[in-house]
Amino acid sequence: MNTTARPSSWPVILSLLVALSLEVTPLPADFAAWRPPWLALTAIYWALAYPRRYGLALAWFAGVVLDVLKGGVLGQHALAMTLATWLTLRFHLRLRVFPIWQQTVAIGAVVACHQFIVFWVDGVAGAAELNWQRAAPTLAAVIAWPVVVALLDGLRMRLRMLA
Amino acid sequence: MNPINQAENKPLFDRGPSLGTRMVLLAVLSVCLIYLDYQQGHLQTVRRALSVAVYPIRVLVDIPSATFGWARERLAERDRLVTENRELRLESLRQRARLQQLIALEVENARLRSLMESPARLADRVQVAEILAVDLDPYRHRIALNRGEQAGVYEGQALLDADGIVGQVIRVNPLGAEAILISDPSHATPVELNRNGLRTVALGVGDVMRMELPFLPNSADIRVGDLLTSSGLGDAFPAGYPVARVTRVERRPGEPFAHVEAEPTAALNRTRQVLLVWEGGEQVALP
Repeated sequence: MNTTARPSSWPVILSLLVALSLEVTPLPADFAAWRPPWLALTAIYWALAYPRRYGLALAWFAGVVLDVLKGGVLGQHALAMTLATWLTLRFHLRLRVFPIWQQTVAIGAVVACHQFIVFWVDGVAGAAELNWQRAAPTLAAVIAWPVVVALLDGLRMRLRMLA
Repeated sequence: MNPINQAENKPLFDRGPSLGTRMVLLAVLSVCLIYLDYQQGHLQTVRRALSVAVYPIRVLVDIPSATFGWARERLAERDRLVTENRELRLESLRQRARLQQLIALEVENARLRSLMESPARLADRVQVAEILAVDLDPYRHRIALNRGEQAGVYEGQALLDADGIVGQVIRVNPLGAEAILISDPSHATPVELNRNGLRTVALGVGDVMRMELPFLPNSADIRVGDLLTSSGLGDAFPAGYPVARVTRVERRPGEPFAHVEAEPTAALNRTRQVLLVWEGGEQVALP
């Protein structure tokens, strides 16, 4: 295999589409607030893996698509995902070499910023209720991050994508 | 690795604007989007174009639950089907018996209306739409439907189920539509008391089993068990469909308004199919 070839984009697009589907998959009513921000986690993963190829523009566009899919205010998730990806890229040199548990904690902090923006725009649009459930996606993201990393690392390993 | 090729992959210096600049640009763009969409509603064309692109995702996500429903129908035991069939036949018989009365009443109503020289009411046309099994925002009571512009759905159209009003369409896309439930915290339904015609507004509170009627004075003639029907004011819903049943009346002498709660009659979180209503859309007038 020619190691200098540019890695193909379809695994990235496919994983983002799967993440988009997971964002609206029906959950039991009791767990509705516990949905991890799959799309943000996936975008963060690819930004960490290929910081020079997949970054802000991709995250922003994916965020706009998510807004349309969820029927919310256009730009809400776009803004949140831009911020989350920017934080990731800003600290990617450190985040990449962290052991997984430390990385998970750091990503938890990034997702907390992401959720804050989502909550803020909800507040501007008049649909905000501040309760403990607002913290649920962040906790769910902390649980989901190692899973996302394991799955996408596995995918990259299998496809022998460039590091 | 060949250093030249490596240089191709990872340039020594970044080209283009810096990371911070790009972040600020995209953030400003997002804020503009939020402002234009929320304050002005200018982005309908953008949303329409993208909604066509994301509709397949909604359908894809709906597939498992649709398949499950289909499989349950296919693999149902014969006994259960026979029982269900018998019950449905009895139900249909009962309904038809009531319908005979209704026809007589309609004739009488039309005669009275013509005596009073008021225009005849037209029958409403309905069409069944499926609710797609997708979770939109957990903090808003919104649903996605599988009928859109191609079926003639329009913004503001009322949705019913077998027991009452469910909500109204807020966004129409070429293939599907999005609707708001009457239990959404930002939704208000104009209602009247079936018993005495008292008119008020029922507000959603974000709970599918509860609505509030905050604008009734302590002296209002309202009791637990009263049926609230749509009043037709505000032009949002056709008049005369059930909305909710009063579950709690608390008169508070110290305050200007009573605390009144009601439970929606429609099965807001259990139904899979809803009826789209075209008010007076049937060409034949009621007799």
